[in-house]
Amino acid sequence: MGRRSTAGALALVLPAVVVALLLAVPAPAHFDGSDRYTHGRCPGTASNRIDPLNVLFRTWGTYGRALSQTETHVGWGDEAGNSQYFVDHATCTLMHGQRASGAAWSSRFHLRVRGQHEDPVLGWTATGDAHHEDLVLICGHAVDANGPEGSGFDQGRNELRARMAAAGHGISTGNWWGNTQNFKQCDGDLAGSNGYTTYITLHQVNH
Amino acid sequence: MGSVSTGLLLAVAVGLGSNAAGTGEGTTHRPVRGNSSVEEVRLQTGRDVYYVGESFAGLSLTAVERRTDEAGYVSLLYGDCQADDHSGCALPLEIQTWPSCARNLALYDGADPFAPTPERVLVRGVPAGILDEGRQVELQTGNSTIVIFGESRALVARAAASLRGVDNPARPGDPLRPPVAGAVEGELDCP
Repeated sequence: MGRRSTAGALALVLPAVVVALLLAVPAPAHFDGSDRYTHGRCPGTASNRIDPLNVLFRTWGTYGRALSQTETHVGWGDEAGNSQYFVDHATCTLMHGQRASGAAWSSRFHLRVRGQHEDPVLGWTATGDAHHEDLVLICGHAVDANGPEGSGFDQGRNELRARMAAAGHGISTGNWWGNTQNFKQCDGDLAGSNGYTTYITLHQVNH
Repeated sequence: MGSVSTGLLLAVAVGLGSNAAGTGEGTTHRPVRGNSSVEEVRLQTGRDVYYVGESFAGLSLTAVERRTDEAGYVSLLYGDCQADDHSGCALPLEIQTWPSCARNLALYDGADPFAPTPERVLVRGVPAGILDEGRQVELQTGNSTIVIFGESRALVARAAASLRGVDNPARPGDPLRPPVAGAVEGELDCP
């Protein structure tokens, strides 16, 4: 009697569970470019923005490949620097890693990377904040101020793009993100992106 | 991942010590500084530039910045913030005026489906786009594109309503001049 009741109940419940599981399948993942800056803490707000995003790694653009292939093909291998946060689908999370062209006590190119959602078109994705920063005696690192050659953000993106292109990576320029807000640096100067983001295709095999 | 404070290392290296270093992050607070001035902007010709006066919503005009590369915009910034080693900071309010040949709403309509999509509206009678849930607004007037960044949607909305000309007679609240033909569509070539 008890067994029959249990079996009957299962027969009733199981189809409902299966339907519920099917309905619970998450919506297809996609790249979310709605937040276009790094942040100093979570939650990410307009008040704690630090750097504009200006690089998107795609295809095999996992954060591990982004860091590895930046190190190998661009020559940026130093890992020192402070941590920043990225927002993806309204979730604020710590970056995955960073690479720089020199040690923390030098002027250098610098890139922070965070892996983002996989996308049906872009494939695996990661975003970054490439920049050139000067070592300023009074305060530490400051992204190069806006100048005739663009800001340190533009210079960093352009350097990364050129070196990745020279190594055979697919490059897409002219991607307008419009994230041109200026950021005061520790020396008081201002630096901002010109609003364009470079898309870099990464390959599957690391080095 | 490292968490080295280069500024702190430097402060120790040059014997400044924590008191002289000032803010506890090994850095000294330095006020924001732009590379231009309102007077210099007034002397430039060829494009209308906009701002919200010498002070707005309790924030003083603290910097005027001119991009001399292809971006070519003039920016007026309000308030200040604390930047540290490796960490820049966003001022509470910034108003950029771009040549519409270099920046226009059509840039968001390009082939890139991953670029942000502004909500198209009319502000002060001219075409505008709203991004970042209202913390970035772009208006097109004459041969200029005005871009407002703010720490809150309310501040940006107030600033948009209060825009006035730096070097032209536009007054707060008045309708702005319509954009010149082809400006919104991105059909103008920069000189």
